[in-house]
Amino acid sequence: MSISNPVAPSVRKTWRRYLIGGASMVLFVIAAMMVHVIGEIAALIALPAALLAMWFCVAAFIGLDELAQRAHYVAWFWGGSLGLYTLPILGLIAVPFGFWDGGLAGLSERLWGEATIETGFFTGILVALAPPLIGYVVWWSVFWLRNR
Amino acid sequence: MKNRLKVLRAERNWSQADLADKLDVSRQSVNAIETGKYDPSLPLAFKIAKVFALPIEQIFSDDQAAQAAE
Repeated sequence: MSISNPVAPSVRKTWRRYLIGGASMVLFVIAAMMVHVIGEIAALIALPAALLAMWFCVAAFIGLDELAQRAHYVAWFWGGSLGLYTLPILGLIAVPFGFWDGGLAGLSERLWGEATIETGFFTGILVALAPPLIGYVVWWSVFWLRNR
Repeated sequence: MKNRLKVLRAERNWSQADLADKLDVSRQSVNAIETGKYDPSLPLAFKIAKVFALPIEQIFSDDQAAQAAE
């Protein structure tokens, strides 16, 4: 007697690609954060990891059906855009409450314990990317909750 | 856009998952089309017509045109 798998092979394949892409992205971030410790070796790891992440994420996206692709388009446009628009609002809140004291360097020091070029770079990426990413994830989740 | 997907599927005793399998899409896609939350692309609409062996206009209809006719 065979037990049928509730997850279709094409879906499993897509998730496998996402998993490899995600793991490569994590490897890229770790390698990039280690630049000031291990030097050029970090770049040698980070570059192929970034290319691998891009390749597998694109392959995973192409393998999705049209509703799943639409979920990403909608989340990217509405969630990402709204997230981006919250940045100035967050800025308006952060300044009077002292969260932005010392600028990017101050925030880097509070987050990572030191303010170097690397930590400043990553703090800048974090500040710029976190709101649109959160907006993206929220919009994508709501889309699937409505279409489950 | 209106569609008769749910009725046609029921006539054939297919579950949403069965139809999704035949169309190579997710069950959620079938559900979204059935409930009118999502209008399929033209290639998917033709695929649906092929699966049910019916002309496309017997499955999908334009509700605005139907309202205008009434």
